[in-house]
Amino acid sequence: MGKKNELNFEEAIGSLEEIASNIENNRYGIDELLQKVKEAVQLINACKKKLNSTNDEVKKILANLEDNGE
Amino acid sequence: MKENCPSQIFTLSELNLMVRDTIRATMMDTYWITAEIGELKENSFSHHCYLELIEKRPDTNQMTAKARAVIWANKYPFIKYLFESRTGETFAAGIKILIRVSVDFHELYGFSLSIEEIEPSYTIGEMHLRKSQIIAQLQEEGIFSMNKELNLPLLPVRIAVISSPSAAGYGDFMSHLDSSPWNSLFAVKLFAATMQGEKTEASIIQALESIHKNIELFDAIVIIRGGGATSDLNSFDSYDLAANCAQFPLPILTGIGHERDDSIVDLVAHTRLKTPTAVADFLINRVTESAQRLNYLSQTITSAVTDKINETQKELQFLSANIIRASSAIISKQNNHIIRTEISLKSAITREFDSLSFRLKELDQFFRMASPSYILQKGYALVLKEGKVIESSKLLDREQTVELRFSDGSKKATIQ
Repeated sequence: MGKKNELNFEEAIGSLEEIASNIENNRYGIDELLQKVKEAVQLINACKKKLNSTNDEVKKILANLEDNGE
Repeated sequence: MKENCPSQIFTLSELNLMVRDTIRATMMDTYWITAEIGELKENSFSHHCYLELIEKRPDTNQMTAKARAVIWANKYPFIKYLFESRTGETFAAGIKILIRVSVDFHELYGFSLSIEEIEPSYTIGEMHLRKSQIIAQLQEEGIFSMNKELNLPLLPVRIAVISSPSAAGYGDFMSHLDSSPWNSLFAVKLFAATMQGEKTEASIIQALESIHKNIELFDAIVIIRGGGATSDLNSFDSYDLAANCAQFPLPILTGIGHERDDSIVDLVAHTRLKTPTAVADFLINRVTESAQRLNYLSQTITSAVTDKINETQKELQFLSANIIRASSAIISKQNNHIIRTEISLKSAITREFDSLSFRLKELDQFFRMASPSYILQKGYALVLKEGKVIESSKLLDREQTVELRFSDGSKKATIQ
């Protein structure tokens, strides 16, 4: 949903869960592990950013909807 | 054709009175009957309640009977209160009731029933029956659990609210969201609808249609109704509204706020909550849980990586210890060899040196004893003639002068 380049929280959490389980089950070699950790850190930061956002843009769109709606 | 020549003629009132008398004479005082309320009007002056009772064929819905009825003002408040408190329904048109009636016929006002008593459990049973029929129909059509099967996003923050803007419940919902830690994350849009009375069903369906036009802007729908009377939930038990809700492609959360059994809309909704405040709490908790899940994952990954790094480090340490152990074994073996070689070399050299120095001493002694000065010291003398050593007496004549060399000097001598 939303913009296409915007982070999908669902998918991000899904990827993080996969990475966590793969690390715990020792499925990564050390080189791949470093790559995956980098990826995980990026996803975690993006998710945190989303949680702390104000959603102002969405609010603006919804407010405009009211004008057209009636 | 006797009938064409009337032998006795009555006035209308005489006839009506005859009917009335017949009724009064033949009918019992009261009867328990079932009927549906077709129409209902309260007289605001007299406070009597006038109804039209009807009966329909269940299969075709065609009307098969109709009668006027009245509840007198002395009984009406009690009957209404009893009915509504027991059933949770408004005493209104469209409801099936079991009532005790007396039959009356008035020469001017005609046939009418007077309602003496009501048995709400019949209506409850009827409502259950009707509800279970609707539920069965929704299940048969395969739509009953469609909304439940939708995934509620981990962050349900873009909310379409269907409610009456003036409802207390809507205010409660909004202020609850506003006071949450995620207040800036929530984006709420109200789709105003009538939440009570006959228009409810159509009004909510219309709101759903409005939302559907911008469906990509929302994560979930909230249907809330606020704080008011517990009655008048008939609309939420309707097939049409339930079918619309069940098939709606966004998860629907209900907070219709009532004490009695769940309405059908509650049953088909993704999540059923009791009050608007409970809906707000549910949304807030969902976001909180997602945030906690993110933290948990972040911690899990961190500790898993730390473990993995420690483990790898241990492996490396073990490997390097192994290498050191193995190589030091080789080195000490080599060292021993060197030390042994060194020792044997040393002793060989010493031996060689000793024998050399012994020989040197021998030589030294030999040379010392063989030297002329050594011999001269022992008492020998050299005879020299004109600087040359004379080795034979035959070389000397009489009166010749020679030199005698001793170890401490020379003297001239003359041969005789």
